[in-house]
Amino acid sequence: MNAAYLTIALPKGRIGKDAIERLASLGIKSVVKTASRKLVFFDEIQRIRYIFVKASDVVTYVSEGVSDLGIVGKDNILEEDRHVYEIKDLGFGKCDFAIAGFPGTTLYQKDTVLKVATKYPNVARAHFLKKRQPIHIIPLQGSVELGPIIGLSDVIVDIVETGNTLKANGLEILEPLMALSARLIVNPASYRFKHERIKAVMALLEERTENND
Amino acid sequence: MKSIRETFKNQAGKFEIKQTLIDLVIKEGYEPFEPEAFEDYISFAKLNTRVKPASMVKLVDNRGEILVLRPDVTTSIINDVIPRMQNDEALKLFYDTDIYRMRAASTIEKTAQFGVEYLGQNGGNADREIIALIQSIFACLKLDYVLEIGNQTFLDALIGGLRKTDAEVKQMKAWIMRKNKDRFLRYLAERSLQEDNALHAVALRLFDLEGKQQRLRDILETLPLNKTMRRGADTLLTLGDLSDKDERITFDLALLSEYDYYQGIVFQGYLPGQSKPVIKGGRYNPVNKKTSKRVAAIGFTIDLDVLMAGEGQ
Repeated sequence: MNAAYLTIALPKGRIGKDAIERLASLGIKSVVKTASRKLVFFDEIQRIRYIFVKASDVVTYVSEGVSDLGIVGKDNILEEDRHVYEIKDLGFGKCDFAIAGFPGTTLYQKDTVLKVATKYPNVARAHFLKKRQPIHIIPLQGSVELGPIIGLSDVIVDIVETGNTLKANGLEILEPLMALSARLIVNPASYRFKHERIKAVMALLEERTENND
Repeated sequence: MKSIRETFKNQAGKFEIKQTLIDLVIKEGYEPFEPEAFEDYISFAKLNTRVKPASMVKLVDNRGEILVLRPDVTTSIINDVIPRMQNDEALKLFYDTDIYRMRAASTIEKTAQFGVEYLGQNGGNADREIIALIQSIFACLKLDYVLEIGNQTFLDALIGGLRKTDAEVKQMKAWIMRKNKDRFLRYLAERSLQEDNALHAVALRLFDLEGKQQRLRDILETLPLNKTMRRGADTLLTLGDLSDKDERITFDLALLSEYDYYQGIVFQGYLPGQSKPVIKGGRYNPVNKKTSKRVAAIGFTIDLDVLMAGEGQ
C-alpha cells in the first residue's frame, strides 16, 4: 500500500461507470480517461490513485491492502467472503441474487443431486447447504443462462437485473435470494491509518447518495 | 522459490523478534505457558459461536470424540489454567506457539502467535498495564502501528437489549464487525423498537462512537445509556489519558471481537500496509469451572507473520 496515495479500486463495467459519476465531485473525471486502456490513474493534486480491475477482484485488492477503498457489487463481496469493512450502500447497481430455471423445475428434492451452473459457487453452495439440498456445482464465467437450455445444469444461481435475458431464453426466477447493490468497501488497516481521508470520501458519497434518492 | 539461505535468513529474523518479545515480557514478570495441542470440539464451538465450524481443523480420537487442532490459545487457558488457580492468585503468562485454521480449498493455515495473559488481576490497572506493554513492544521493535480499543460490555448490553432471537444477535454482530452501518440502521428501522426508545437512540449513533476521548465523551453525554452501557463506556474512558498522549491509540465502541468470551475492554492493532491485525486481545474474565467464580483475565496475541511482514517494510 502506498502511504502517500489513497488508492481506490473500481470495477470495469457498469458499476465502474456509475462509480465514476458518484465520484465526480472528487475530480475523478479530469483524471480518469474512460476511453483509455490504462488501468491506473493518478490524481497528483489530491494524492488519489484509481485502479481499474475485474469486478470479482476488487474485494481481493482491498482485503490484501493494495487498495484502501473499493467500489463493488454486493454479489462479489458475498462470493469472496474476505475481511473488509462494508461502510456504505451506494444505492446504485441494484439487482437480485436468484435461482432461475425452466418454469416448474423442482429445487428441493433431497434424494436427487441438483446441477447448478453459476459464477458464484460459494454463494450457491452456502444457500443449498442451508436447505440441505445436495448439489453439483458447474462453475461458469459467463452466459450462465445457457446452462439449463443446453442441459448442462438444472438451474442457475445468478444476478438478475431486469429478467429480460431469462425471459428471452424461456427461463424464470424460481426463488429470489437477496437484493444487491454497489457498496463502498475499505481495508480495516486503512480505515485507521487513513481515517480522515476515508471519512471524507464516505461523506461525499453519502451526500451524492442522498441527492440521488 | 526461495533459496535455502533466504529461508534460514527469514527464520533467523523471526527467531530474533521472538527473542526480543520473550526478553521484554520476562522482564515484566511473565512466565512461559505451553497450551494444549487439541481442544474438545463441542466445548470450543460453544465458547466461540462466531468461529465458523468449517474453519476448525477437526480430528476424531479413538473414543470417537471430535477434537479441534488448537484454533486459539485462550480456550486452553480457560480450560487448563483457570480451574487450577487459587483464590486471589495472580498469574502472568506468555506463550509462543502455532494455531491452525482450515481455509478455502481445504488447506490448513498455520499462524505463529506470541501472546500474554494477565490472570487474577481485575480493574483498570491491569488494563493499563497491558496497553502499556503493547506500547513498549512496538516502541522496542521501532514499528509504527495503530491500536483501536473498544468495550465488549457496552456492545453486549446494547445488542442484548435489542435482541429478539439468537439468530438476530448473530446477524447484528456480523454487520457490526463489517462496519455495515447502512444495513444495521435498516434493521433498526424495520423492526419495532417502541418498547425501548433509549436503546434505539444509542444504536443509531453506534458507528459514530469512535475517535479520541473528548469526542466520545461529547457524544455519549447526549445518549440515554443504561447502567451496563455506562459502566462499559466509563471503563474505556479511564484509558482516555493513554489515548490523549499517544496518537496511535484510538477508541471504537463498535469494535467487536471474533470471540464471544470477551467482556470489558477489547482491542486490535494494525501495522501500515498489513491487512490483518498484528495484535488482538481484551479482557475476558472466565468462570472457574471448579469454584463457579469469575477470574479476572486480560491478554493479547501477536501474529508473528504479520509482525515479520511489517518489519520487512
